[in-house]
Amino acid sequence: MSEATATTKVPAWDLPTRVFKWALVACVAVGWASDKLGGGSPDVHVMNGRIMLVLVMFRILWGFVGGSTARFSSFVASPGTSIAYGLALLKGREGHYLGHNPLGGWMVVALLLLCGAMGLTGLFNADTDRMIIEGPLVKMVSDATISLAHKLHHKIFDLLLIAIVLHVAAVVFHAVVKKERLVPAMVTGKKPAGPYVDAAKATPGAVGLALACLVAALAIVWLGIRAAGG
Amino acid sequence: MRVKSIVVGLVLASAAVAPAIAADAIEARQTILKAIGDATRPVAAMLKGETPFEMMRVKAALLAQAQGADALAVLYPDNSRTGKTEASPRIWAEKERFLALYAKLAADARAAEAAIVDEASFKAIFPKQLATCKACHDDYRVKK
Repeated sequence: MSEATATTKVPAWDLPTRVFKWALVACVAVGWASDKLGGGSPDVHVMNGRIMLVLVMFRILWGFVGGSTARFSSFVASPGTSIAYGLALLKGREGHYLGHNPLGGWMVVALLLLCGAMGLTGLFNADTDRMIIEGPLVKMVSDATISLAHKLHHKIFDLLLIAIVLHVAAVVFHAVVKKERLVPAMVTGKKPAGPYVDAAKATPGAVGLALACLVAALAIVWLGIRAAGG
Repeated sequence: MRVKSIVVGLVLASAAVAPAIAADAIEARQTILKAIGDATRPVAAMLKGETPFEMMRVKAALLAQAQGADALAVLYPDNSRTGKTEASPRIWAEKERFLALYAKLAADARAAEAAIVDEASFKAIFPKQLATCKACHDDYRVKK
């Protein structure tokens, strides 16, 4: 421990990436709670869904222009690299990454796709009688499409739960077995300096650029839904 | 409005004659649930601001919910698990919790009948009824 506190820290995650990450966690939690417990206030669930789409859209944009460790080009690894990393991990000989490791990178992609799919199917979802809750685009599609969206919304949530369990299990594995504490790094943005495979330290993205991405994401989601008739 | 009340009344009366065979129970509960849905639908539209507030329709929906829920409580005999029904097998595994939801729907509807006096109280109170509908449908209704 005393060794760890003495270690110099290097930047790993920039502020916008961290704020996004925890906002997404909150959004998933509110999405679940507002469905399970908030049947009397469907507006909350519907608004939360829009926010989910904005967050995912923001992260996609940020994946191209954000800080070095937030960029897809820095963490989306080839299948070969990912398998090699997985095998090395089993033998306890894997390289250490400042940003997402190859398997973690794919988890980020999976979580973003699943969260995005939840938001998109929610736009067309409604309760069976279409009395209690309706997505903003329900009026534009057939009953069969609503039915399909309903099924997908629930199936994708199950997949999202599985992904979240795997994701949390991996973080716990890193903390307990590998003594790499990833949660504090995602809070403070810093990791202990070390011989990282990908980069020695991260270059943060500009906060102004992040705000521009957020405004763009808001515009894409709100205007997109309006253009689609919602 | 009066016609609707008579229809609901007839449905409830026919349901009161204990169904001897499973198909009767399934059909009876479907008819009552549909009556509740038909009475509630225009009120849900009011809640969303699609149609103007009408106290008469609100009261009719609450009456249908209260009387319907009472009648429905006896319409899930053990021999009515299978057939042309959206009723989930969980109903019979968790009968007490399931029936508690009907009891809640009925009790809340009667309380709401007194508590809803204007549009503001309607908008504050009525969503709780829909929440109970949803809670039950989420767990005990299987979409075919």
